[in-house]
This record gives sequence, C-alpha cells and structure tokens, in this order.
Amino acid sequence: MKRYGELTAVNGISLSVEEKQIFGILGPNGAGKTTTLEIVEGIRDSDEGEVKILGLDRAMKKKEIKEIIGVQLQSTATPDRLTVRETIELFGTFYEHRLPADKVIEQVQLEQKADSRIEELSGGQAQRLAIGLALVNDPKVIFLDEPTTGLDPAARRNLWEVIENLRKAGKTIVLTTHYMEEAERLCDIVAIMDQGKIVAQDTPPNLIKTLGESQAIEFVASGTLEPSELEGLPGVTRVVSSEGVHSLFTTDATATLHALVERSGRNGWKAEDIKIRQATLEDVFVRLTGRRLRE
Amino acid sequence: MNKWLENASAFAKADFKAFFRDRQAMFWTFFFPIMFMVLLGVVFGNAQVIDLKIGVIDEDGTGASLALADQIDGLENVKIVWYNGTEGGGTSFEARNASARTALEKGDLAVYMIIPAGYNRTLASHSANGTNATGPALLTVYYANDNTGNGRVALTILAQVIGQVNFAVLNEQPVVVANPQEVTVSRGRYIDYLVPGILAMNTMFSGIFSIAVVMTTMRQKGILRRLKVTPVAKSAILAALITTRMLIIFVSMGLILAVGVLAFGVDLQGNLVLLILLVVIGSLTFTTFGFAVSAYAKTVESAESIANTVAMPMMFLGDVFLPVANMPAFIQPVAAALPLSYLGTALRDVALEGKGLLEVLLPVGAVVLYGIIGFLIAMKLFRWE
Repeated sequence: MKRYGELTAVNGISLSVEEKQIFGILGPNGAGKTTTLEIVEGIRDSDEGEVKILGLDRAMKKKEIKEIIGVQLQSTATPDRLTVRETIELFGTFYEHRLPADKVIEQVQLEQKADSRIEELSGGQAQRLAIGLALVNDPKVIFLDEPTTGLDPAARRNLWEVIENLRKAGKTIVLTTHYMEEAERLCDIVAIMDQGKIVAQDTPPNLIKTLGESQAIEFVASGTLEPSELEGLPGVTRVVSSEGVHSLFTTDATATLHALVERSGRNGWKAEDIKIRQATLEDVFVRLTGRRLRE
Repeated sequence: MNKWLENASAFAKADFKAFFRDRQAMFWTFFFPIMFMVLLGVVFGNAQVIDLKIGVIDEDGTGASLALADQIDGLENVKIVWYNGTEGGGTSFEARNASARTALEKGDLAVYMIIPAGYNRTLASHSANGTNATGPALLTVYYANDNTGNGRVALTILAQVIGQVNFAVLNEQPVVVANPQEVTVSRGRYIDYLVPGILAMNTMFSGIFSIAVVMTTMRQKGILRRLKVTPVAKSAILAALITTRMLIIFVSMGLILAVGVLAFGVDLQGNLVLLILLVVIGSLTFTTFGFAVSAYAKTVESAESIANTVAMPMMFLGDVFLPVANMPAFIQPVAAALPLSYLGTALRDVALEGKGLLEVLLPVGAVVLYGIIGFLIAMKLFRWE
C-alpha cells in the first residue's frame, strides 16, 4: 500500500508473477501502475505490505535484488554526450555480473547507432537504449514502465519485437502500459488496474471471455436512432453508443448482423460503415470500470 | 571497496568525456578566464611601460636640433611626436604650438618642448671658445600637472638628456653618475595582481557552476533515479563528480599560469605544490556551494541563475580585478570577507611572494571555514530526487 497524504495511490493489491512470462499491468494514467512498479523496483518504499523477488525480500536484500533485476524507468535519461556503447559500458561496470556491450547492443538492435551520441538518437532508439541499460547485468527479471509511450507505430512494433525476443531468451518481464493492443499482443498475464486497485487479472483471452461476448458489431447511423431500439436484436448482450458510433456486443454475430441489416432504412435511420471486430481488453476495461482506457 | 573505486573511476571517465564534448562548458572553463586575463593584461597589465610621448616643436631645424630629438627618441619607452613647420605644411608657430597644447591637455602628450631658432648657433659658439658668451639656449618645456605623473617623469628624462648634451658640448666628464640596477618585482604590475585572482575566480566558477548544473541536470532528467536502481554507491558518484571537476580545474590552472608566465612574464615565486593544495581547498569549498545551489534549485535554469547570483557579485567584489583597497570604503569590509577574496589573497601571497603555508594560514583558514559552512548547508538541503 502507498499513501500520499489523503490519497492512497495503490491500495491492497496482490500480484504474483510466474517466471519466464510477460506480466502486464494495464490501466489508464493515474491508476497507480508506475507507483506499483517503483515499489517493486525499490525506488519507493511502500507504507504497508511486502515484496519478494525470486524469493528475496525487497526490504532485506536490496543489494542482491539490484544485481538480478533490470529496470527501464518511464522518464529515461542518460548522461548527455556519451555514445550508446559508452553508456552501456558505464552501466555495466555497476554490476558484479555483466554482459559484453556488443551483446546488449545486438539485443536492442542498436548496432547501427552504437557509436552515436545519445542526443542523436530518435525517440524509438533512445527507448531501445533505455531497455538495453536494463539488460547490461543479464537480469532474471526485467521491469519496463510504459516502454512504448510516445513512440510512433513503427517504433512501437519494433520495440515489441525486442521485448518478445527477451521472453524467448527466458526472461521474466513485468511491464505497464495503457495500450490495450500492447497488452494483448505481448502479455501472458494481464492485471487490469484502476484507481489503485487490481480489478481483474488473467490471460488476455480469458479476460475477453469473461465478457461472454466475443465480437462486436460497430456502425454509424444516419438519421435518428434510439439506442434502446437495438437492444432487442438477436444475440445482443450490450449496446454502447459513443461519439456517433454504436457498438453491439453479441454472442452471435451472424444473427445480429442479419437483423441489423433488415432494420436499417425502415425506422428513419440507416446503418452505414458496418464493421465486425473481436472484443478487446479495452472492452473488458470499459465493462469493469465504466470508463475508457484513454480519456 | 574495489567495486567502489571501479565504479567511481568509470563514472569519472564518462563525466570527463562528456565535459570535453561540451563546447560551452569548455569555453567557460578554459577560454573565458584566459580571455579576461589577456584582455585586461594587454590593456592595463604593463601600465608603467606604456610609451611616454614627447612633443617637439623644432624652430631651429638644424642637424643639432635633430640630434637632440634623436637622442630623446632613442630612449626606451619614449616616443617623439613632431610638430614641425614643414611637416605641418608650413603652418605658423602659433598654430603648431596650439595643436601641441591641445594634445597635452588631452593627455596625448606627456610634455612638449620648443627648440628655439639659434639653438645650433649657441651650441657651436660654446664648442668653439668654451665660454658662455651668449647665455644658454632656452628649451621651453610644457608639462601637464595631472595625476598620472607622466609629465614630471618626462621632465626628468629631458633633464637627463640635456645634462648629457651639456657635458658633451663642454667636453667634460660627469663627476657623479647614478648606477641604475633593474630589480624584477613580482607584485608591481597589474597583470601580476590579476593572474592569481583569475585562478581563484576560475576555481570558484568551476566549483559552483559545474557542480550545481551537473547535479541539477542529473536530478531533473531522472539520471539519479535511474542510478538508484543499480547497485552503484551514491558516494562513488559524488566522489567521481568532485574529482573530475578538480582535474578540470587543474587543467585550466595550468593554462592560466602558462599564459601568465609565458605571455606576460609573471614571475612565479611560490611552491607549485602549495598552489595546487590551495586550489584543491578552494575548489572543495566552492563545490559545497555548488551542491547547496543544486539542492535548492528545481530546474537547471534556476540552478544557473542562483549560481549566477552567488558568483557574479563575488567575481566583481572578490579581489579579482580590483584590489579591495581601491574599492569605496563602505564596501571594503564586505569585499574582504568574501571567500573568493581570501582564496585570491592566499594564492597571491604564495604565487608572487613565495610565502609558505603557515604564512597564509589566516586566509586559508577562512576559506576552509566557508567550506564547512557550505558543507553543512548542502547536507541540510541535499536530496537525490
């Protein structure tokens, strides 16, 4: 538990992470993801509760834990005017056990930029360096705090690849994110966090299954449409309308689609731009909290 | 302990590299003090050896009057400025006299002298018959009675030259002559005063600015937080930072002393080891100021402006460019009590007068005392995040 004055940022959460998995903490900004991670990493102390990493007690074995974990912080900064290789080598000297700099550079795909100064790196490259710095001691457990926030889609996909390769190498990874695609694609287990609490925790497919509705039909209506009119359609379990887009969550997409097309054009509205999509973790989040991930 | 040393030296190495890649920091640390020194040294450094200008209005216009002028012109640090009829396009005596007078009043001339027509004839008649029939030739000399004293100095020089002319004409040997011996003094010139002051100033700037900026940058950018999750000891980081700043100060100390000695002929009397020790003490003291500033400042910009607020008044009042004794009386007690003044005094006494540690114990003790105060403030305010 972590309190800041009146505000309890993280309250009574209990997480356990299996080895060699990617464990994701998904939640909107301000949910307490970073605070949780920082308590585990040892940057902050908790007001109550205990943390164990590979059987080592956080409070008792600080030094030992530092040797076996790798950390990428949300606001990553490194000393100016050093090159990628120099920075990786510098951080390497801090550890008893370290990887050769070239090995780290290869893992984060920065071979082309190894001798460039940090100020010359793009956002994606700087982020890969930040992850590289978390790997210099060949850690068993890696903590990544919003590793792809602020990156363009190409840089984000590139970073996903780097993280997936780490899992293949047998690392245990704990990451936070507020991108549901990221959580779905990367994570073996996702904990959904909101207002300092864990509201659900399971594999992404299982979390989506809890919705009971695996698909959603989305469309834009021209004319006037009362959303309540849609609730009676076959298979529909829930109707969510926002910003002119109507989403029909359904257990039977074919039947629902048939009925929708049949109704369209009869009661003064027409369904246009119809899409069928799989339900996502975002839908799970909305269902659990009544709010969207990014607002 | 081995790991501590390894970490500290790796961090120091990285910090050193980063510093030498930072052109702006290089400029302020190395070139700024040298620039100050060279500018001030060239303008004021050798105040006494600026040429005395002696104006000559030659109404005689013969070989004898030319020979007199040549004899004056041949002296060291003296220059003749002609106010001649022919060169001035045949201007009247009154006009030439007026323009020489104006130059004298403006301070362009130290003195001016009128060689009367007939000077040659008077000389010749004396050489021929050895008697003083026509009376002496009168050389009228105008001098300015301003506070530079240059007029009187020039007058003395002229009297000497005229004395020599008299002996030559009368064909006599002087009975009493002065036997001048040059003694190199290490404290007389402005540049000699300036060099140890610049050294002290640079030690102050390096200590306050570089530590304040580097610590605030590392905190603001989250580098310190990042280091916190590695096993590196904080003390190793601090030791590395202090050490690199010290090495950088040594480099600039070498540059300042080299330029002072080679370009301006400053005569270093003191023990170099003692000088280095004083710089180390000064640098540690100002480093504590730097830590205090960085602890107080939230951003790099505010660290810079606080550091400026501390360092700039010290630069001007701290006995670097202007001796405390020459300052207005009301400011003197404040100026003399500044840590920079104490450091400058100690450096000056050692560098120029060759004093030993025991003789500069008072100013050194004051610097150390400031260091202890700075350390306590820094300890009280210091934070990693």
